[in-house]
Amino acid sequence: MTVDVCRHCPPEPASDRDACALNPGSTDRCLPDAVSRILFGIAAGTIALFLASHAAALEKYGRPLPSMEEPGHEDREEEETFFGGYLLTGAFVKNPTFAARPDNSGLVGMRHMLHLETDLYKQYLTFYTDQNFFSDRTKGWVELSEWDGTYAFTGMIDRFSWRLQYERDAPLDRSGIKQAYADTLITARFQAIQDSSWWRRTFPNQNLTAYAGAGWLFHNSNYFARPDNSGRALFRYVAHADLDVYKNRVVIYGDMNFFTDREAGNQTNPTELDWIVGIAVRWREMELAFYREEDRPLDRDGLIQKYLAVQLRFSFDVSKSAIERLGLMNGPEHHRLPTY
Amino acid sequence: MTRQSRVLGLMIRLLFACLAVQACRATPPATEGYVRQMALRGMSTSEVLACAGPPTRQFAEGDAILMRYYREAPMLEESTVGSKGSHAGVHHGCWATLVVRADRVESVRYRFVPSDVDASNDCEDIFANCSQ
Repeated sequence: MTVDVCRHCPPEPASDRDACALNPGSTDRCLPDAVSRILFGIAAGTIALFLASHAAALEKYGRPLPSMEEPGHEDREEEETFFGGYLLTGAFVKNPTFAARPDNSGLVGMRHMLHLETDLYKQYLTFYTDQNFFSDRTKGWVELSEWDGTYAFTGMIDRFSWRLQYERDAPLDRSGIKQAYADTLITARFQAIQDSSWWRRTFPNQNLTAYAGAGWLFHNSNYFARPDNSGRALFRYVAHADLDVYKNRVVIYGDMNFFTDREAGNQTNPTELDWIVGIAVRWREMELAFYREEDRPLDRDGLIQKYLAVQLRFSFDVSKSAIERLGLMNGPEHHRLPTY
Repeated sequence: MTRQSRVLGLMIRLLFACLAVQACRATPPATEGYVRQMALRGMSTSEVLACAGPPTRQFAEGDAILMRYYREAPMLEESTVGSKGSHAGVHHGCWATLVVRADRVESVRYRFVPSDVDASNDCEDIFANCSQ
């Protein structure tokens, strides 16, 4: 069925591809062939997977367990995380164009980030913050040149996630443009091993987790719609996929962020694409990742920012029981039942 | 805007539509039938303690002893990193409850937190060293 469906998928526009190949100096915007193929492949593959899983819906394995359910046990318990996060440090090992400040000056050398998050009410309301710092490799690799602070509320209802976020990007070593926005984002999640019986039969030891959605930058102060700092972003479309190759210890991932321009004739057409592909290897609380990012305009020629980076993440979490032991939080009565 | 970009935009919209429909078809994940879950049945208490360690909690209920284990998915699995920030995923974990009678595991129950996220790999990881 998948094959039949894909026969009807929109074919790659050969005329544009040929035009780009024949006329590379054209002012018309041409996505590189390899990038186009990757993007089309991701989109078409996900759609085909969806259709395959839809066709096999009757075979799904979700079965109720009449004698083993624990009604009234939906609450988080004391062993679950109260708050957690990670520290990230990364080196941009190859960076021809990725800027080190919001005004597009310099070139990033190092990135450091602190991520903190806590569930305020189960999975429905979570607060998180990211504090991102960049250094400029043209001024040495140590001195920080940009600070991006993100503060957000997020939550999940069934397969849908929502987000309300504020981000402010500012230079640290000199005065200059500050970029800030506030946005909302809604995404839908797909988990292959849970949602596709075909996947579970074919890849019992691997998993594909993906989400995609759209957002609205309802407040925008200098948050641009292209990498060359032109336009002003209005909407964003996001898609992300994690392919668990081996027990969540080896993960291949891809991420796409499209922005539209509120000053453009058509405010819903994307004007910028930021994409990332990477591979992560995890061991205990650590993760080593190699990834490549490219931010490019879609509707015209212009600056393309890209780099290749290696990064380390160290995660940590504090359980509710640890907080209770410190006397900072009281647990419900059943938490104090004697255990042995 | 090239034809290529327009087709890409169409594909994006179609992708979002597919995911939205998929999300609406939410089916609760299965909580039984996993390899290590089934392999635990019939094991003695000492065998379980030897391969999985002491339980997070343990208590008696009638003539049965309930051994409860918990494992939460690591933060690195739940939160993804983008170019200038992150995307917080769903905190999730799995409780495994072993019902022990006459020193033998009679049944094994998995419970995911939250219940609509498949966290079976977390429970299965608890018993990674258990086999009969």
